[in-house]
Formats: sequence, C-alpha cells, structure tokens
Amino acid sequence: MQTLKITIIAILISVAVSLAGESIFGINDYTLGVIDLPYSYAGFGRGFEIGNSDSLRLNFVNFSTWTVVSHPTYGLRLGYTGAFAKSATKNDLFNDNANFQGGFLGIPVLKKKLVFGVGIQPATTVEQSMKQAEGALDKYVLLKGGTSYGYFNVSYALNPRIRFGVSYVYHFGEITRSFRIELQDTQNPFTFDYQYRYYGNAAILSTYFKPRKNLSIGLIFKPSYTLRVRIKPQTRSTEVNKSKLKKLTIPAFWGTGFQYNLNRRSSVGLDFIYQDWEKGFKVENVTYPTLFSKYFRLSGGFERRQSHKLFTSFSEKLDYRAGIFYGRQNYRSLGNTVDEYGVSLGLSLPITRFRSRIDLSAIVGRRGSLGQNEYQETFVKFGITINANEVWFVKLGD
Amino acid sequence: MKKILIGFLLFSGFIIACQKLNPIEPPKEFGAINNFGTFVDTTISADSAFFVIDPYVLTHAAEKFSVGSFQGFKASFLIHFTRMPLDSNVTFDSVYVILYRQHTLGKDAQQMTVNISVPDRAWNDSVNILPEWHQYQPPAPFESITLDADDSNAVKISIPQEVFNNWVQDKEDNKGLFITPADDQSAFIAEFTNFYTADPELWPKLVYRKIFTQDSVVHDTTNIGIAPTIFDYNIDDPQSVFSLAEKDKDLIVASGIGCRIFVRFDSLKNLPPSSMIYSADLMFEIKDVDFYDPNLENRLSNGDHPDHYYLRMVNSIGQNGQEAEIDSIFKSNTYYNYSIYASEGMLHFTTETDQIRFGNGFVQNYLNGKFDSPWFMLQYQNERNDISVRRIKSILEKGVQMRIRYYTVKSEGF
Repeated sequence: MQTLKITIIAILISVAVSLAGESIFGINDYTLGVIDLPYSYAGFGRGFEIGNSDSLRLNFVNFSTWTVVSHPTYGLRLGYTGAFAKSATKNDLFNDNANFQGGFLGIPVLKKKLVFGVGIQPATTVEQSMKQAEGALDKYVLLKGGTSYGYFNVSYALNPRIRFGVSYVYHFGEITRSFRIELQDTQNPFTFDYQYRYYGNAAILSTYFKPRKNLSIGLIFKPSYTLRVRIKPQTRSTEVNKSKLKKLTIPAFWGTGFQYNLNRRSSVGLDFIYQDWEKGFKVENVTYPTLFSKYFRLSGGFERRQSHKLFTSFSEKLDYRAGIFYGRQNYRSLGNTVDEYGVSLGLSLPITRFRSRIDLSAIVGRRGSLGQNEYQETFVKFGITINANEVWFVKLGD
Repeated sequence: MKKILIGFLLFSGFIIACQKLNPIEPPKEFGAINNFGTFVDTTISADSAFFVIDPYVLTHAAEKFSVGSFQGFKASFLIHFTRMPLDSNVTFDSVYVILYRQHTLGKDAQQMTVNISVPDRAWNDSVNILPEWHQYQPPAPFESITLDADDSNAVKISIPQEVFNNWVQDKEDNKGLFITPADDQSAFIAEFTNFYTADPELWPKLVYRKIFTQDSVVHDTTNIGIAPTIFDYNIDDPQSVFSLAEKDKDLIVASGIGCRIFVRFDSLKNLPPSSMIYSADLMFEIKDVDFYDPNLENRLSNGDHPDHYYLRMVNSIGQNGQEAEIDSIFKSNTYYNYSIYASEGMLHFTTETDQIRFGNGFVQNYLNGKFDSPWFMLQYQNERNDISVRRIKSILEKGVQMRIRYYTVKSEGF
C-alpha cells in the first residue's frame, strides 16, 4: 500500500506541474495550448499504440485493450522537450520544459474480462512569454497553464479477440494570462492577471479486435463535447473582475491503428489520429478557421520485444523500438498550417523481481517552415514511462 | 519499485527547475495583446474649489512660538514654567527667561519692540481657540525689549524678583508671561523654539540664583513649561490676503490662521468603469507672488515651515465647506493617509509610490464604488506652529489638476 500512496502522490503532483509549453507555436487568441499526444513512451518510441495490447503495460490511448492485464497495473509518464526555433526575421530562440505527465491505473475485476481504471493526463499545455513595445510602453504577456483529462474507464472483453472500452472523461484546467506593462518613466510595472478556468465532460469509446492471429486493430472515438470556460480577471477593478462564462466546442477525436506481428518478438504497426479544429472548434458557436487547422498525426514503426527465455543475456531482455511520424498541428502560424515530422527511438528495461518495466524514448523532429510560418522549430523529446504489475488483493483463504 | 518512484519524482523536480523561457514577439494570431485594452494617461481639472478659514487653531504642543506683526498678521505668546523651586527661607535673584530664536518671517522693519507683562488671569495651552484671549488687554508691561530681525542670538528677559516670588508662591499655577508686540506696525514675526522642539538644549529656560546664606549660593535652571501662541488676523478686512484671494478666485492653504482648500473633481465620474488605475497625482500649482507687491515672491510663505500637507477625502460637504465630513479611514488604515509635498512649483505626490497608492487607494475605489464623493481637502500637516500662507492658482487657471494613468479593458480576451 506504500507504493500505492507514492503513486497517488505522483499523480497528484502531475496535475500541478504538468503545465508548461513545448513549442513556440500554438499561441492565438483562443489557445488552449499545444495538444499533448496521449501516448505512453513505449508508443512514442515505436510510433504506434492504438492497436497494441500488452499484458505488462496499460495502453494510454485505447483503453479497451486493458482486459489483458491480470494484476493491478499502472503506468506513469515523465517527459522533457527542448525546442530550437529559427526565424527569418526574428531572433532565434530556445525553449525547454519538463512535464510530469500523469498516468493510469487499471484494476482487473473479472480476470481477462473486466477491468476498471482511472487516470489523469495532460491534454493541452502552453507557456509562452511575449513582449511588444508600443510607444512609451513595453507590454508583456505570459500565457501559462493548460488542461488535463481525468478518466474513469471500464474495459470489457467479449472474448480475447474482441474488446470494448468506455471512458468518462472530465476535461479541466486553467490558463492564466499575466499582463505586465512597463512605462518608460516609472519604476513600478503595472500588472494584472486573467484566469481562464475550463471544465467539461466527455466520453471515449474504444475497441480492439484481432481479425487474424498476427493482426490486431484498434479504434477510438471521442465525440465532440462542450468545454466551458469561466473567465476570472484578477484585477483591482470590481467591474472588470466580474466573471464571465463562455462555451467552447471541442471537435470530435478519431483514432485508428493496427499492429502486425512478424513473429513472436517482432511487430510493425501504424496509427492515424484526426481532429478537425478548423471546423469543429467553436467559441460561442463561432469557428475560427484562420486560427485553427485540421489536426492529424500519422505514425508507424517497428518493435522487437524481450526474449522469453529464462537464461539469456541482458541485451535480450530489452525491448527495442523505432518509428517515424508526420503530422499537423491544430494551430496556424502566419495563416498557414504547421506541419511536423520526425523519427523516434525507444528502449525498454526490465525491473527484476516484479513484472515491471521502464520505457525510455527519444524523439527528434521538425515543425513549421520558414517560408510558410513565422518559425521553424527543431525539437527533441525524451520520455520515461514506468509500468508496474503488482498483486494488491490476495484472498487469505487461497 | 518504491525507490524508482521516488527517484522519478526527484528527477522530475530537477528538470522542471532547469526549464527556461524566453519572451517572443507575439504572433499575429495573438491579437489579444493589442485588443485587450488601452493604456490611458490623462489629466483632469478640478470643477470646483474654495478655501475655508479657521481663525482659531489649537496651538498647544507646537514646536515654535512667535511674537511680532507682519502684513496684518499678529502673534503674541504666553509662557510659564511649571516647576518652581520648593525651597523655604531662600532668597531668589538674577532671574532670567532665555528664549532661542529659530526663524524670522518677513522684514518690513529692522527692529520691533515687544511688551512683557504678567497676565492677570489664569490660562492654559488652548488659549488660541478661546476668542476672549484674542481681545485680551494685558496689564502694564514690566519690561519692553527690542528684537532685531536679523539677530539670531538667544533673547534674555530679566524677571523682577517680586514677579518670580509670585511664581514660586503659585507653583505650577503661576501665570507666567504674556509677550506681545508693542504696536500693530508691520515689522516681522520672530519665531522661537518651544518646549516640543526635539533638542532640549533649545527649550526655553528659566534661570535663577538661590541664596541660602551669604556663603551658600546655588544657580538653578528649569526648562519644563508651556508656551502657546495667539495668532490674530482681521480676515474680514477687504485688504486681507483671504479677501484678495477670494476676489482673484485664488486658493489659500495656511497655518497659524488655519486655511484649508476643498476641491471637487466631477470628471472622475467620466472614467470608464472597466478601468484599472495605475497611478494618480493630485497637483496644486503654487502661485508664488506676493499679495501686495506682484514684483515680489510671496512673503507670507514661511520658509521655515516644511512643505508637508495632508490630503483628506471628504465624505460630504455643505455649501462653502460648511459641515464638511472628513473620511476618517486614514486613522485606521495608513494606506489612505495621504501626504503631499512641494516640488517643481506644485504641491503634489512627489514619489511614484505615493501616486500609485493614491491611484489604487482612492481613484480605483471611487470607480469600484467604495468611495462616492469626489471632494478632497488640503491642509498643512502642522497648522499650529507658525504663520505660513501658500497661494494656489485658481481652477480657472487650471491650478488644481489630477493626472490619472489607467488601463481600460475593452475585451476579456474571448
């Protein structure tokens, strides 16, 4: 139970600190921040996750696969991103940040049939400081915050080949705009904050099926839902401080992917996810196609898993992964879409004694273009996922 | 596993501490930085202003006392020492009162004679607020001395032995001295350090010699006492500074003869309600011109009087300042205790910190509905010490203005 306590603390901390941006893009008048891809770092490394089912790990995207775990299982994520941004007209910039990115816990209720789960994950993050000179004024705005998803999942396996998942999702978060105005003839800056508090309810439907012995396919669908934002100014003016409530519409999210097992240890796979922010994201029922674009990501790769032999070299106990991806952000820059592509590598280390593993991954990519967008950004991302299977509930009579 | 989890937490804390962020130019998609609101720097003028005279201010516990006559202002003072010798079978002689000059206001004449007498009625340190003391006719002086406008040496007054014997007999109820100009001729007003001056060496002294026997003589000194000043001025005279100022619509803030300025800013109501005040400065432009000779600077502005003023918020006010109710919040909350000072030809909040405090404390709270009166009162911080008259330009000459810097929110970013 001590481990459970630490796990809960870790998850709670993740909510508090998972608020930092990772890109110079993604800033506009209605920004929620950059979308955090909800993959485990095993999924990041190999480039696919939706069609993957693993008895040692929880799938961070497709919850229908969870029925395969036989013991209480959890996974925790931590990621670091550094982004080098180049501009044709502005200064080059380097931003970096780290997110402790929450995790999931799955508890089997009926072995191989029914699993209940909870989890928390960052959904969007933003942290960017901006400065603009205007006559005798220097205006600064710091955007900081993000939104998260809290999950309650039920996974059910009709049989080992057909599984379903239903999730209730509470989408919540806060983004603060901190304004700071410096007047040239004064020592004291003028400051005030606006807090935007988000909350809304959503659902995720997911399925997993194996039409062939070596082939598994996953599908996920999150219908469009309403996200409310309460605007709470923190100023000296009581008139300004009157809070307002606005309604946002978050577009439907689709995802599909497959995994094909080349043999017992090697697999290839492909994922495709899509969300139409251009037509689907609305503020008070108004779309903003000049600010938002269609979000998608196509990724695929290869995985070679550990040997099942009891006595073998350490290198044979590792998992190896490699992948590539191409995608498009949901925000526009200079009116144009922001595309991104890159490669990923992954490694999985065993933790002896327990059926637990640590997944490491590294991603290198490029996003934006100097001709089309304000910046071109080269980014690196390093991530860790800790996966653990533990026996928590034992019948004394057994 | 537990160790790995703890290490995981510690590592995440480390890399979070390492992250950094550089400001960028806002992208064109982020119009909020420009559309959010506007920073405004504006100056409004007072819509109404007048001054109210208080001829009888309480002069107790003042740091100075005065005697003299200048430009119609007259000052006399009472002084007594409260600790008298208690010795019996003792003869006193060589009794002197020593007073220390601090400053001289004006100089219409080089010398001035003052009469020194023993008052024939009891008094206390509130004499200046009692009208009867302003018509007081003292008994014949036992001595007259001449003061020189430029002489800064201590003044030594010889006290007759019978006067001192009476003081000793009356102990702390002794009537002391009444010192007043010998005539109403305009000369100058001599100011002396009082018992409330910080340096005890400059307090008035009573020195005397005690003779016990032919061979036993002791010199003694006491410097505990009170010395209130009585200030007189004919405020109704058509040639008084107050009448002249009223005629020119000028404003006056004065001490000795107390005079306070009331101003009203109706334009505060026109500030946009969705404004956040950065700072506000209330400015009174000094008119440094003599009342009787426009070629001279104001001779009634006392150079020894610190240019420190209180600005009070006024809750309600009747016509011509009658029944003005001063907001007492400054007594319980020093944030609303506003002081302004003279600088660059103006009385105003001379520091940015005070301007921000006034902007946030008053103007913002006026917009927020916490205060609903646009009236203010200006007064000398110390009205009791001496005569000083400050002239302020009329509101017709935009002599009283308020500079307000604020940010008006136009949209909430959505």
